[in-house]
Amino acid sequence: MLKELQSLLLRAMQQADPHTFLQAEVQRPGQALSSEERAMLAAIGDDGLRLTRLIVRKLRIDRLLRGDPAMAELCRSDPAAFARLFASYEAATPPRAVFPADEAQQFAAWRGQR
Amino acid sequence: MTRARPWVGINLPADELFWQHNRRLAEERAELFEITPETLWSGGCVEGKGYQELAAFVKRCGRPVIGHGVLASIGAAERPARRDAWLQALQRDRAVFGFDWFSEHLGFADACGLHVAWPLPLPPTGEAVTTVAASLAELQAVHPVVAFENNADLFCLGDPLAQPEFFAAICSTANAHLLLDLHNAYAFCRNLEVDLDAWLERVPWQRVIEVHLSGGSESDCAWLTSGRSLRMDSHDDAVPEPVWRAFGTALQRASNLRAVVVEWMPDAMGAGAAAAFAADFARARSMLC
Repeated sequence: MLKELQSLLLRAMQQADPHTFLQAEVQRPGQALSSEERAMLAAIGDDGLRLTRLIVRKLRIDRLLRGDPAMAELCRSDPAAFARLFASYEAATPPRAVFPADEAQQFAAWRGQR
Repeated sequence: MTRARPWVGINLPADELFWQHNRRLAEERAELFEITPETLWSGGCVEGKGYQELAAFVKRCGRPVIGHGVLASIGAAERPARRDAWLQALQRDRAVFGFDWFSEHLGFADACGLHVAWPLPLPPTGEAVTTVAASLAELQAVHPVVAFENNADLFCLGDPLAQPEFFAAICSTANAHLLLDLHNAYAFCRNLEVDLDAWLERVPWQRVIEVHLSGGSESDCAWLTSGRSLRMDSHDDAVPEPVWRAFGTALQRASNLRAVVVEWMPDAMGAGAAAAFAADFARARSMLC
């Protein structure tokens, strides 16, 4: 099913090693995938998946920096500290925001809960 | 009867740096403008910074305007919760900007409640065709003429050379057009190691309403454990020669082509970039005369 395939690909984008995640999930019994979809997912190359994940992460950082001036300033003044903070945020909060303001709001909520 | 030649235009963001370097190109030479409405929205799809200024500019110029979206997620199997608000905003923008047609990137950016802001590839299945056609039908209720754009996907589900047939099936099912981004096609074929000419041979040319021209860049070898570099759709460099050659092919074959849009990302704009952008625009224009 297309819905299952898309869910797997988006979840793969949240993994440090999307290729290994996808290969394991495709083999897992009970996935609602046709044999054709299973074969297509299994054949995806590692490089393309990894670079796509990198772009997806960069876009999330862009959203946050555009939505939160304080984080934009931290990214400029102390990139390493920003990277650590963003990694914690990313690990704790799935990507749901479309606009920068929404990403900043999610980020503020996450910081408030820490 | 001879058909009118396609318009040659540029993407028109509301970005100060872009305007600083490209005002003359926009005001005096561009025959058409392409606007991405969602980049003018703030949260909740409401008018954001630069919206009214851009609307006033295109109204003053009186030239054709086309709308171009990135994140409607037209291939999402689960209809995104934001879809209704998105369509209402597009309806408003159509009235404001007077879009001649509207295009959207093919792919999905939403699933299981997640959003990734980047259209991911679809499998070339009947279910995907039906899904995209249903989304395009919703867009057609706002804009009678719609198109979808091929992406510079970094991976592919299925045979890369079968992709144009998938496009043809969507065009036919949805009565939609194809926005053929030639740099995306070049990058896709290079990254997936298929022949660009063979890919172009399979394109449903009668459905191509618009062509995009842009440049891109190579990914840093250090980014991938394999050390490989992939071609990226970054819109931050001059149009490369293989794309110009593909453009020559497109001009011969796309008999229903109505617009050529030269694109450059506003973030990557500067004096040198603006000169290259203007040169690409002039070259595209000269190839149509």
